[in-house]
Amino acid sequence: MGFAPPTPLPAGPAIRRDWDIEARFIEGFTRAGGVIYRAGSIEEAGKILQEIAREVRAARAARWASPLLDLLQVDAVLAAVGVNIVSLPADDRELYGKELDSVHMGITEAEHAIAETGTIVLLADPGRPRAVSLLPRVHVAVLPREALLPTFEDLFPRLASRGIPPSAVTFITGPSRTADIEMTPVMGVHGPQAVYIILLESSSSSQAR
Amino acid sequence: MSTARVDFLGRSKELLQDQALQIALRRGMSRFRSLRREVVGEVPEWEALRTRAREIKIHTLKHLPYYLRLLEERVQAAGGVVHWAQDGSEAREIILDIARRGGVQAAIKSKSMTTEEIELNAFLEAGGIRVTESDLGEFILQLSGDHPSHFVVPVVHKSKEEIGALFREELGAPELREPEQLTRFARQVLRERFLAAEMGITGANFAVAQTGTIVIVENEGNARLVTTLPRIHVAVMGIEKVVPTLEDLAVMFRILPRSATGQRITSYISLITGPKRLGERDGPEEFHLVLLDNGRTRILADPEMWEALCCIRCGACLNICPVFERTGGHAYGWVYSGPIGAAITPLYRGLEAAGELPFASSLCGACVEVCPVKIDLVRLLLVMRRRAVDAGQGVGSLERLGFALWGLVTRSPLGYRVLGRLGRFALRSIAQPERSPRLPFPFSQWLESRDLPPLPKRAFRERWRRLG
Repeated sequence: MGFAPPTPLPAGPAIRRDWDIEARFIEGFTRAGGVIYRAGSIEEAGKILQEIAREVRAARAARWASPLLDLLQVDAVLAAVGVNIVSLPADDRELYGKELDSVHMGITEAEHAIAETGTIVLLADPGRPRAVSLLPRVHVAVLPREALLPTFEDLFPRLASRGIPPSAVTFITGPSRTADIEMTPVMGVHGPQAVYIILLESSSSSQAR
Repeated sequence: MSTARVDFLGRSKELLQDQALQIALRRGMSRFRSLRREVVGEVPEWEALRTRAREIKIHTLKHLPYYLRLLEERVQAAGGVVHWAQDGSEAREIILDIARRGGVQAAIKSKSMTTEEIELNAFLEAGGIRVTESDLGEFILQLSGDHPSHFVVPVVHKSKEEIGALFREELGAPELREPEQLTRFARQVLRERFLAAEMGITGANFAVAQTGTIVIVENEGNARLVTTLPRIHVAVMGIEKVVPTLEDLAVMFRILPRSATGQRITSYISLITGPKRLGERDGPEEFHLVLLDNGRTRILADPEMWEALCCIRCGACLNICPVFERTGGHAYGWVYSGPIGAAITPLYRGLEAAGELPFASSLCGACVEVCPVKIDLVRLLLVMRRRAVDAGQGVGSLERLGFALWGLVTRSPLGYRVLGRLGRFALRSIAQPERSPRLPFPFSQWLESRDLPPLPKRAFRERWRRLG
């Protein structure tokens, strides 16, 4: 025992991964109460986003700054179904919270996802605030097919390779839930009541093909 | 810290009479057990994972000074502040000081057993800080001035009717009957508090030394809110919670939710590294990590008991324990209950106060089978029983005399055989169908909290002879 660096533990046991990555991911996320739509093109992804917005009767939404969401033309796509993208107050913490609290839908991009458990991974940065996936009652995450990783072991080296990991790395598997009262499951206790993933099979445009 | 004596036997007698509690506990624990069985069953390498998790914990504990120093360095490198607290009192002062310097009036908390351990809320309230528990179960407990009765579902002992009445009285809620309505109402109330709080307080399930990251595992999303909205985030963590690398989390993520709630994974896991970075819109401006000893280094130096520090507080040993299932957590008199609580509470609070707890077990060993880090709880309980007896506790003079006589007679094979025959004859002659026999004093005392198993017609020795 002491302050000298110990010899690290040898590698742990490998876990079985005889499952299909995409099927396993969908099964896990769906089992946790999340909903997944597949989109074959960015146009299709836009249509799905419009459908979700209609289904949850969203009038106002917040989004991350992300090239992928720009490619989807999220603002225009949502404006077409009467949903306004709000701009979040920059300096006032309480106003920022209140504004996001009143928004119906938060739209993010999952940079990674773990098939093993059906989990999406959100990384915080200046254009990607944490609360967009948390305060609105509906969260929609766009997940490019190539972001799917089999297990947690495949993810961690990617986080550590950036030196210090992002200030917040959030693993999300389905909506916010509790079973604190008589062990009855209730969704949306603090975070979103519903989480949708748009699984983008290809980020190319169907017209460009 | 309270030094009041834990009266497990007395308290459990009252709790056994509480019919609503009995129903809630059976229902809750059996549900947890079946959920756990299902998700553990789908992992063929479960045993290898348990072994690995244990290796990680033991390796870290063996090199704890190194990993804690590394953790401190990396948290600082990420812009966080690390505080070392020798005991609960130091930790409380540190946290109140952070609050005062930050001009904090209202703090919001997510569930943390460590903050329960140091009785933080009462101290902050006395210091003029309004503290709100935001985990739904903990919020209900706080409203009713009650304590958690389970690691994972702290409010398992309360019915929805009681909670409805509590919300009406304390929060002016309308008549709400269903868990869903009650939850919605609490969400509204707590949202307001989240938006107003200047300080967020959390525990930590793990901390990664390599990156200076704390890890919070949860389902509700309240810990995410606590670490996202307030200006200051304080995480309070026992020093045994550190793991070396991010990769180690992969194993912990596989064992913890499965063992705790029977989920493959929880809804949320947050990896927090330092305060928010330049330009980020949310997340705290200040991040503080309070590393709490409070007796842990003493346990680490205890050659018989240090294994207890491997515990990841999943609650699996509570859910499987036949004693816990009948008494619930309140009988144990402190924050840690069930088999692990019975073993470690006397280490933290002293044998004088909690010497009765190691006896609150049938030593059936079911807890050892389910523990995801393979803590030998039966061994730990026996060690603590021995220490309690050595300290003159736990065993009356009559019991001592009884066992001395038993030892004397059964030392010889003849004595054993004769006593066995006599005993079986005597017990059969007073046996009643379907129930444990009643015996005269002094045996009645022994059976006050125990059942005698039904006796077979023939002793094993006789059957063995026939088989041979």
